[in-house]
Amino acid sequence: MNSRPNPPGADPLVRVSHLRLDIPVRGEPRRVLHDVSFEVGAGVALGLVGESGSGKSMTTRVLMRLLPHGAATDGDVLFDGTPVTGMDRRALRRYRSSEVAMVYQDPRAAINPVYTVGAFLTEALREQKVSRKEAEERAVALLREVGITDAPRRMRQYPHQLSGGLLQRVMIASAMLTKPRLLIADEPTTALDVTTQEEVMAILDEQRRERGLALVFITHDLDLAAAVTDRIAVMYAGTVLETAASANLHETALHPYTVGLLASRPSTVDVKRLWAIPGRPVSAFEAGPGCVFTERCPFAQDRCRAERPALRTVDDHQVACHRAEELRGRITYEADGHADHQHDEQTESV
Amino acid sequence: MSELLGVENLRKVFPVRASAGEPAGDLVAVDDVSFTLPPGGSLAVVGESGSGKTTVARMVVGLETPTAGRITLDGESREAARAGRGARKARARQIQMVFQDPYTSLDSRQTIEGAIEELLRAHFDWDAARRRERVAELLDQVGLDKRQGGARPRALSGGQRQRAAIARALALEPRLLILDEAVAALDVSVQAQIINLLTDLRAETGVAYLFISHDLGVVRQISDDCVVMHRGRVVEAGRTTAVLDDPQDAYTRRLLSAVPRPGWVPRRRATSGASV
Ligand SMILES: Nc1ncnc2c1ncn2[C@@H]1O[C@H](COP(=O)(O)OP(=O)(O)OP(=O)(O)O)[C@@H](O)[C@H]1O
Ligand SMILES: Nc1ncnc2c1ncn2[C@@H]1O[C@H](COP(=O)(O)OP(=O)(O)O)[C@@H](O)[C@H]1O
Ligand code: SF4
Ligand SMILES: [Mg+2]
Ligand SMILES: [Mg+2]
Repeated sequence: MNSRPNPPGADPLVRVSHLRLDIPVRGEPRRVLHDVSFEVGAGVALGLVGESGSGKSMTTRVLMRLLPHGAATDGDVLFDGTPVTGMDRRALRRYRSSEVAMVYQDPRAAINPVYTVGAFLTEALREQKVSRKEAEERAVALLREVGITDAPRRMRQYPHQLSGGLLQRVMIASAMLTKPRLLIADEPTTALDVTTQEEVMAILDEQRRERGLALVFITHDLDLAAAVTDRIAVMYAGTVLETAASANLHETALHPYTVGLLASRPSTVDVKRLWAIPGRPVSAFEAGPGCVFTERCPFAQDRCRAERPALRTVDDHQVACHRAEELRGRITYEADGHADHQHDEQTESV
Repeated sequence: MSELLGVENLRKVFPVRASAGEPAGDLVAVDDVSFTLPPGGSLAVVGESGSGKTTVARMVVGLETPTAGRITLDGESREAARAGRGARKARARQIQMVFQDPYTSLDSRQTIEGAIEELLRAHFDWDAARRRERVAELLDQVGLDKRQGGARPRALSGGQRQRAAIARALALEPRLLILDEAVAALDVSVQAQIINLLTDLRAETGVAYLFISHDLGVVRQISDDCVVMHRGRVVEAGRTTAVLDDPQDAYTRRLLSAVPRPGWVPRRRATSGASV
């Protein structure tokens, strides 16, 4: 997809650097994000990819400043140069109501079931003193834009009368109503069938291109993210391990975790024994002092266990791995042929 | 070809009560579905949500009664097995099911070992030592260690719980394992482990799979044959490689083209918004 990088020297719309987040669990602070850094330029789509619990949703909650009570953050979250963490109530309200919008995985949980689609869509506009007639016209026009042909009828319906795919389109329309500059979509298609996912993705992509929106697109599906975003940030255990251009991620992935994820995904076009990353994903608070991926990494050395690698630039990627240069282009994962599933041995060609 | 499972002209109609402006009527969940599965084979049933996959599985395992059609195991119809209690018990042993959510088949108050042990006690006249040996063998087969075997389901990760559910399902040496979206909820890296495990277990034990999934990549890895369902009907059937490499039906083609892959561009269909 064509990326629209910022003019050199300009600040990106969103800059997250060295974000850390602790949330109290039974009175004790628990580390949820270790070190999250990424940028999103105006009009650019960033894919935030990771397995469950890696901290994707928590990152978006910091971006929206919707954090649980007692949460403590460190590091910077800048929107258009302004620290989100430092906004006063008025600035925060303006930010949430007109700069950034969100689409969630489960639209049914994000919509009030007793309101009609029409009432839901016009509510925010009515609060901004837009007349009822104009609000309704804008809502209908938007529903048509997201491919809902019988919009006036849908306006009178209740959420339970709409399928998941249609409801997600309503949510996209709703997100567009306030003309935000940043859209955050947290697994918007995970609950949908692939065919419906394709439709919803196409609409999301079309809307953000036409409007020049910045998009933070969260998913656990690396192939999906690579297809619909400009850049990808791979998260693991509350840390960004690698960022890279989406278009050639498959060929250029540097981090052993990214390469492993790509090798784990079963393909529809050929059958081969999958390379399975051993063990299970760990949470941020379980990680030791070294690299968060050490326990599962076939390339781990003493240094990896002792010292946490910082995110640094290698080629046009950013990667948090001590051995990135040394391993570049040489990680080939080959699953063993026999039935030793307890500890699938990987052979490395390094 | 010898046949383990035969499904002929299966049909299931659910009555639906009137609601919110919709009149009462019948919902045809499964409509004229037929397929066969050889011993040790692996047949995938694919299709989108609501296409009738789970309903087919529930009828095969006996949780739902077909409105019409016939299900046979080793050529004998399932009704015949109702005859005697002993025969029924023996029959029940032959087909086991693994669900998307392993909690469905695991008791939260029991350790994994305890649950398997109890199952063995109910079905075999073995002494404690023999049962313990079999439990250890099963845990080893699915890649769980001693500590994980002694844990309750809540103390295990999603992947470990699914391994436990598979161990339990294999305990009675079934000839047919029905897996309903059994890897769908797992993280990619863990999903790959379970797919490899299922491949190995079939090779080791000769158990057959009826593998229900909406994920064509997973289906390609796990099945020899597949049936594609759409709105309760089979729209295409054949060898999995043939169906995925050269789909004949328009709906199968649509399913395949919607799978994200490098270079994929999502497209809107002309009929957008028509469906409820
Ligand atoms: N007990 C029931 N009573 C009424 N309708 C039912 C019942 N069970 C299933 N259905 C309906 O039958 C159809 C097929 O459902 P089924 O659960 O078999 O689909 P599926 O292919 O397994 O879908 P999914 O991928 O979402 O699991 C659906 O329309 C469903 O709502
Ligand atoms: N309210 C909360 N209190 C404490 N820990 C939480 C809370 N919400 C999420 N977490 C933890 O934070 C980590 C990241 O969660 P999340 O951002 O939801 O992951 P993802 O969206 O990538 O699946 C997980 O370990 C999760 O258990
Ligand atoms: S730093 Fe070491 S353990 Fe971490 S990914 Fe790189 S090689 Fe593996
Ligand atoms: Mg999440
Ligand atoms: Mg189902």
